[in-house]
Formats: sequence, C-alpha cells, structure tokens
Amino acid sequence: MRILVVEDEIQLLESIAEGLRLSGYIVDTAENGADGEEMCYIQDYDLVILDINLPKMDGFQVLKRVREHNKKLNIILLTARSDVSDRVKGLDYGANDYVVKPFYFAELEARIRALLRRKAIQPEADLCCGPLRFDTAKRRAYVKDKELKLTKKELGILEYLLMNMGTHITQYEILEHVWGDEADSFSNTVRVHMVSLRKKLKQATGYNMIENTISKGYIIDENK
Amino acid sequence: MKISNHAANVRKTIVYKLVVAVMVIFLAMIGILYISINYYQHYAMSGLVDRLENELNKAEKSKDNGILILKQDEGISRTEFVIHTAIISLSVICLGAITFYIVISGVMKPLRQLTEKVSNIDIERASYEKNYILIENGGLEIKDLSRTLDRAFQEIYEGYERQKKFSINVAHEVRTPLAVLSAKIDVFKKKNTKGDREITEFVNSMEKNIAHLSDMVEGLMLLSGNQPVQKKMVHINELLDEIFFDMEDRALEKDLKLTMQGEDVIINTDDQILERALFNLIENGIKYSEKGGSIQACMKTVSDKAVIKISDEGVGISDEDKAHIFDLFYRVDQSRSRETGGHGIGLALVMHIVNRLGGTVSVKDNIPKGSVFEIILPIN
Repeated sequence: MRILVVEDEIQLLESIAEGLRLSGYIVDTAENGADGEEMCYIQDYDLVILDINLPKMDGFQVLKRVREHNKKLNIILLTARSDVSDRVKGLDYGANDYVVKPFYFAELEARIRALLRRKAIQPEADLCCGPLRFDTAKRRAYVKDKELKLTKKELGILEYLLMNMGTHITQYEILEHVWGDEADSFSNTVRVHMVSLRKKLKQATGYNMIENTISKGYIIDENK
Repeated sequence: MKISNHAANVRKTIVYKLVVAVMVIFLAMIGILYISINYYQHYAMSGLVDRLENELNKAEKSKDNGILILKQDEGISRTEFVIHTAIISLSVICLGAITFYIVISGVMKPLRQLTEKVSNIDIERASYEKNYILIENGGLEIKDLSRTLDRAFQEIYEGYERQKKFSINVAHEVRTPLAVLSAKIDVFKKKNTKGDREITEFVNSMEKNIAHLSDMVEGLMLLSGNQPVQKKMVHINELLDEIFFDMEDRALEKDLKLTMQGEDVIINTDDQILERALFNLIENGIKYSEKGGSIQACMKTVSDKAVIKISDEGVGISDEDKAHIFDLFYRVDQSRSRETGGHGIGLALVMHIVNRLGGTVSVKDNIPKGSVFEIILPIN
C-alpha cells in the first residue's frame, strides 16, 4: 500500500511518515500543496493524507483539483480547526474522511485501515474485539461464544463501530450508515439504541466496551 | 449660528423642560386659585351685596340719611371663609401635583427605558450591538448618558472578547505542536515495544500530560462557539441516561448514587452541546463529592421553560466563589483542583453552552450540604 502525506509542518510530516512506514506502508511526502498535487498525478497512491493549511496551494484546492481527475483515490484531510463548516466543506469537495489535530496516531491509522478495507472486495467474515466476536455473514454477535441478544439496529451500530475499530464515530455517521434513508434526525434515536447496546455489552463482558467521548463520538477499541 | 444651536440644545435639556413646566404649572395654579377664590367670594357675598345696593338706591331716591343694619348670619363668617379657601387651595395643589407627576414621569420615561436596557445587557452574549442602548427620544442629558454608556459597554465588551479570543488563539496555535508531540510519542512507542521501565514511565507521563493539554485545548476551542446551534426535539432523560451510563464506573469508585427524578421533559435544543454541559455538571458533582453521597438530576417544566437541576452532596461552594465559579480559568481551590484534574474550563463551557441555547445557569446551596446547579432552558 502506498500512501502520500502532504503536510507543511516538517516534524509532524516526518513523524507521520515514520509511523506509517513502521506499520509497513510505503510512504511519500510533500511539503506544499503544489508538490502534493503533482505527485498525485505521477504516482498511483492508495491513500493521501492532506493537510488543509498548506503553502502555495491550500488543501481544499488540492483536493478539488485532484478529485476532478481521480474519483477513486482515498483522501483523509488533516485539519487544525474544529469548525464544522471546514469539515463539511472538505467532505463536499470529496474527502473520504478527516482527522482533527491534535490526533492520536493510532486514530489516524485506524481511519487509514478502515478506508483501505472499504476498498477491499472481501470483508472479513468475523470482526473481533476482545471477548467480542461479530459474524458479519449471519449478523450475530457473541461474547465468549455466547450469543448476545441484540436488536437489528443494535447489530448495525455494533458492526459499523467494529468496522471502524479504534476510530471515534459520531452520531451523525451512525445515523447515515446504519439508518440510511429511514433516518429520522428529529429524535435521539441513535443515542437511545446506543445506550441500550452499551448496557447489554457491559453486562455480558463486565466492562464498558464502547466509550463515549462527548463531541468526538463513540469508539470501540481492542486495547481498552 | 452657534448661539442658535446652543439655544436649541438648551431647549432640549431636561432642566429647561422642567423649568418651563414648573413655571407653566405654577402660573396655572395661581390663576385657578385666584379665579376660584374670587368666584367663591362673589357667590357667598351676593345676597349681602344685592341688599346693600337696594338700600343704597332707596336712600338715594328718598335723599334721606339712613342706617344700614347688617345681621351677622347675612354674610359668611371668617372661619367659613378660611375653610372654603383651604379646600379650594388643597384641590388646586392636588391638581398641580398630579400634573407635575405626569410631566416628570414623562421626562423620566427614557431614563427608565435606559435602566431596563442596561440591566438586560449580558456580557456573555455573542456580540454587542452598537447603539443598542442609545435612547433617541428624551432629554439631552439622557441622550448623552446613553451615548456614554453605549461607548463604555462597547469597550468593555471588546476587552472581554479580546481576552476570551486570546485564550482561544493560544489554544489554536498550540494545536500543531501538540499534534507533533503526540504523533512523535505514538511513533516512538511503536518502535520501542520492549523498552526499559524508565523509558516506558517517561513516555507514559508525557502521554498523560499531552492528553491533559489536548483536553484543555479542545475545551477552549469549544468556547469560541463559532459552530451553529442545531436544534431538534430532545428527551432530556435520554441524554441523562447516557451520561449516567458513562459515569457509572466513576461513581461506583466513590460509592455514589446517581438518581434521576421528575417528568420526561422534551425540549427543542441542540442535544450535542447540551449533553456536554450536563456531562460537565455531573462530572463536577462526582469530583467534589465525598464517598457515599449521591448526585441527583431533577427535571420539570415551568410554563414555557424547562428546569434541570443537578445537585450533589459534596463540599459545596462558598458565596464568594459562587460569583466567579463560571469564569474561565477560575478555580475554587488551587491544590484541590489540581488533585481532581480540573483546569477551570468546565463550568465556563457550561455557561457558554447554556447561553448559546438561550437559557440561564445558576448555582445555589444544597440542603443540608453540597450544591445545586440549575439550568433553565426555553422549551421551544
């Protein structure tokens, strides 16, 4: 897997590149928007990590121009702003995901994994996390081989969280992916199903598997 | 030109208006008094005067010298006269007082408006509208006062904003170095999976402090409040249900009971940021509680408002601290706060959020001990 990192803060650029290389990715780097754009045309990357504030050409511009030529390229935006408008703008321009600085490297990696997996044709049949096993074919969840009684929506939420293990998932994302068109954004639906799912999981495993960080979202992580 | 201008200005002052009003009313009072007493005199003496005229005419015709005898009850007595004039004077004075009252309260009306506007000013509000308290009708003095006040408020507001922006800007600038530090540590950990104990401890301590800083920065960024409020119908008890679940383990550590009371209140609000505010209050309650206490959330509706009370049985807050508890970076007790891991942002954020949602938050003493935080939010 080949990844391009475009970031003008050299120390951060080097750290990200080094960390990704340690995980076995082939990493190229660019320090400004213009170089980044050019490299996107020359090489066939699996994924691009793109900062928004860049010299010469900002991340939004790069994103817009690259998207005109390449619709399939996975692009993750790095933003120092927690502005919703910035994120919305990024996603509108065609970014696949975004990470807000400062971030945990593990979180960035989790997002990369999730994006690259989405691209893979065959998803794993079983998603595992600690004592929990999720059979995606039969759509059933087990804790230590004992089946958990979950509703359809709870299973959907759990599956989506497991597919994005190690990443914070917002209520909005869950609503989009689990509810889809039947989403009723005028109620606390996600929250209610989420609390019920978390209670069931806690009862079965004895600890709180799904963490909730307010304003960041829900996360399920193996290292907890 | 200048003189006429000056004269025009003088004519707009309250002093001028009042002097003119006093003169007019005073003259009117004297006039009324004079005329009515005169009229009374004339009326009371009319019988006597008629007789006097008749007798005089008769005397003139007969060319005789005559004696006119007046009976005492024919005219009015002195006491009667005094009483009557007193009544007339009193009623004229009453009339004058009422007129004065109407005139003066008319002149003072803009002043009352000004007082009301000033008392409505809230420093935490998103922005100060220029000329918000400017009063256009009314005397020159009030106009001047309102203009000066307006300018002063604007400056105070700008100063306050600058101060708040300063911390937000600092937070913004600190993000990139923090991201670098955090990434470097993560990568370092990845590389040194079997490092010795000292290094692991060092890295863990770095990590913990970076996480602490990141929390602070994030809190400050939320205070900048440039995100639009997204309202929808929210069941408050569902929000609390989630927060209680998140807090369950921490409450258990201190043997605290978390309870919910009251009706199911549904309000139109932004659930994401409200959850944050409620979370901060409940987290605070847990932090400052002693073992074995309880945290209670109580909800009710009062006309078109929802009232949410979060009460604890903890150490409580002194009256002096209550006035500042919602200030940014204010800490009740330095050593204690460090122990509990606060950084003086939590309650400032609560205040900011509740204000953005159009509500108010206040703190009172809980009986017999602890504190009650009360959030009042509009239902719609």
